[in-house]
Amino acid sequence: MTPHSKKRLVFSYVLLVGIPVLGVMGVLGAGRHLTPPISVAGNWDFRIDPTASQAESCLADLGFTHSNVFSISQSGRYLTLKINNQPGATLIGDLRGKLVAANLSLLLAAHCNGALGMSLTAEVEPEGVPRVMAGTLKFEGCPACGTGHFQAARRELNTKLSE
Amino acid sequence: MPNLTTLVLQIAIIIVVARAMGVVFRWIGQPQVVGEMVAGILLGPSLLGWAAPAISAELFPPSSLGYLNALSQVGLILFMFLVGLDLNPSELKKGKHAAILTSHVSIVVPFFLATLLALYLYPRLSDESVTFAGFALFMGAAMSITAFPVLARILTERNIQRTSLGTVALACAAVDDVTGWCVLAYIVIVIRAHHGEHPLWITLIGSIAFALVMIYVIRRLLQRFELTFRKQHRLSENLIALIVLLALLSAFITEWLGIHVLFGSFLMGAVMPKEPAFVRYLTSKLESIAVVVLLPIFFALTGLRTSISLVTGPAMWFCCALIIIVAIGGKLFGSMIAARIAGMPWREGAALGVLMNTRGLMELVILNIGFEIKVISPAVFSMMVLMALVTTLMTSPLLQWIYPEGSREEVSAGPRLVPELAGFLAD
Repeated sequence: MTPHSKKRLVFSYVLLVGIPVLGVMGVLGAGRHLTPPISVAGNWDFRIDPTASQAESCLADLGFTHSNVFSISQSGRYLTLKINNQPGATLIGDLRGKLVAANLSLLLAAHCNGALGMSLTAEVEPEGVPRVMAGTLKFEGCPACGTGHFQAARRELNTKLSE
Repeated sequence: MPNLTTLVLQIAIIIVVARAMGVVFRWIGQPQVVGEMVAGILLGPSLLGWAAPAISAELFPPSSLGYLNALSQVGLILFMFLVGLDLNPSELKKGKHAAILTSHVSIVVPFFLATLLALYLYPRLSDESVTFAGFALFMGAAMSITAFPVLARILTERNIQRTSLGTVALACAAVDDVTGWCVLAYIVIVIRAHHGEHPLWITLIGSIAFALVMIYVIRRLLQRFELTFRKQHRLSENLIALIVLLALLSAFITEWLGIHVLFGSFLMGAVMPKEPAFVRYLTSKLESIAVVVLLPIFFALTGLRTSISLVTGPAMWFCCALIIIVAIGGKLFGSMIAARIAGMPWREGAALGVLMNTRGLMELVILNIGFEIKVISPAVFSMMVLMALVTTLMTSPLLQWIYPEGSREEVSAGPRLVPELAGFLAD
C-alpha cells in the first residue's frame, strides 16, 4: 500500500467512523431534552359512575360487568384499549399530553337494534400512584344509551381502585 | 400445568406451517429461514388473528404462550450457542483494509442514522418509561446488526464465499455481530440496572470478568473436547451432554448477572474449539432439534407479538417507511461507499452493501430482547419486524441483479472455515 493510499484510508476512517461516533454522542445529548408521552400502558380497573344507569344495558353489550378491566397497549401516542380482553371490544385511540381519546365503531348493540359507536375521552393524572384517569364514555347512534362517566386506576404494585 | 393437548397442537401446526412456507420460499429463491419468519407472522394477529379471530384465540390462548415462550428460549439458547460456535476469531483478524474500514463503517453509519431517527420516533412511539438513551442505543444496535448465518448461507449457495467479496463480507459480518452483541449487552445492562437485582457496577464488572475468564481460561480447557474428538473421531453422548450443560450454565450466569441468557450461550459457543471437523460434528448433533422444532416456535412467538394492525394511519406508516429507508440507507449505502473508498470496484462494493443489509433471524432475536425489556413498544416492534423481513427478502434478488455469476472473481484465499451453521438454516 502506497503512503498516499494509506493517508486516504486514514482520512476516510476518521471521516466515516469518527464523525458518526461524534454524531451519536451529539444525538444522545440532544435527545435528553425530548419529552415523551406519559405512560398509560397496562391494566386499568375501571368503574362506571353508578348514576349513569341508562348506559348500563349498553355497557353490558360491550362486555362490561361489575369488575371491569381496561387493558391499554401503548406505542407512544398511539393506544389500543381492550375492554375485559374481549376480541370485539377494542378501541383505537391516541394520547395528547394528558388527554386520552379513543373510539370504537360498528359495534352491534342489542339494545339499539343496530350499529353503535362508542367514544372515550379521559384525562390522566400523571402524578398519582397508582396512576388514575377520569372521563366520559359517549355512545353514538343510540340516544337511549346516553353518556357515562368513569374513573380508572392502573394496576401498579397490585393496587386496585378503591370501591 | 400446561394444557398438553393445546401445546402439542400448537407445536404441530407451527412446524407444518414453517416447513410449508420454507419450501415455498426456497422455491422462489429465498433462504428457508425467510419463509419460516413469514410463517410466524401468518400465525399471529396480522393474518390468522385478523382473518379467523375465534380460531386464533382457541389455538393460541394468551395463557398458553408462557410454555411456548419457554420452549423457544431453550431453542434460542441452543441456536446462539451454534452461532457463537460458527464464529471464528480468525475471521475477525482478516486484516484487509477494505474489511476493517467497511466493517466499522457498516456499524457506525447505520447506528448514527438510527439514533438520529430516534429523535423523531421517541416523542411519537415511545413513552416516559423508556429513556431516550435506551431507546436510541437500542435502535442503533438493532439497525446495525447483520445476520451472519443467513449471509454465510447466501454466499455458500452462490458459491462466492471464496471471492474477495465473500471473504470481506464474512469478516465484516463477524465484526458486526460481535460489536452489535457487545452494544446490546451494554444497553440491556443499563436498562435492567434500574429494575435488576444487582447494582450496575456488579453487573458491569461481573460481565467483564466473566467474559475474560471465558476467553482466557475456559477456552483453553475446552480444547480437551477437540483432542478427544481427534482421537476418537466422535464425542460420546456424555460429552455432548456436558457441552450442552456448559452452554446452559454460561447462559444462567449471564442471566444472573443481569444481561440475558443468550449472551452466555453465544459466548460459550464463541470460545469452543474451532477446528472445522469438530464444529461440523457438534453442529450436526445439536442443530436438528433447535432448527426444526424450537426455532419455528420462536418465529411463531415473534409473529404472535407482531401485529401489523398496530401500524395504523398515515403517520405510523410514515414512521415505518422511515425505519425501513434508514435501515437500508445506513447499512447498504454506508457499506458500499466505505468499500469503494477502500478500493473495491463499485459493483463489488454495492454487492457487499446488499449482503451487509441482510438482517434476518439475528434481528428478530435482538427485537425480542428489546420487546422483553420493554425498550420498544409493540408498534415499533412490528415495524422493525417488517424492516427485518424487507431487508432480508431483498438480499437475494438484489445480489443477483448487481452481482450476476459472470462478474465473479475467485481469489486464492484459504477455504472458508465454518459455513455449516449457515447451511442448516436452509436445509
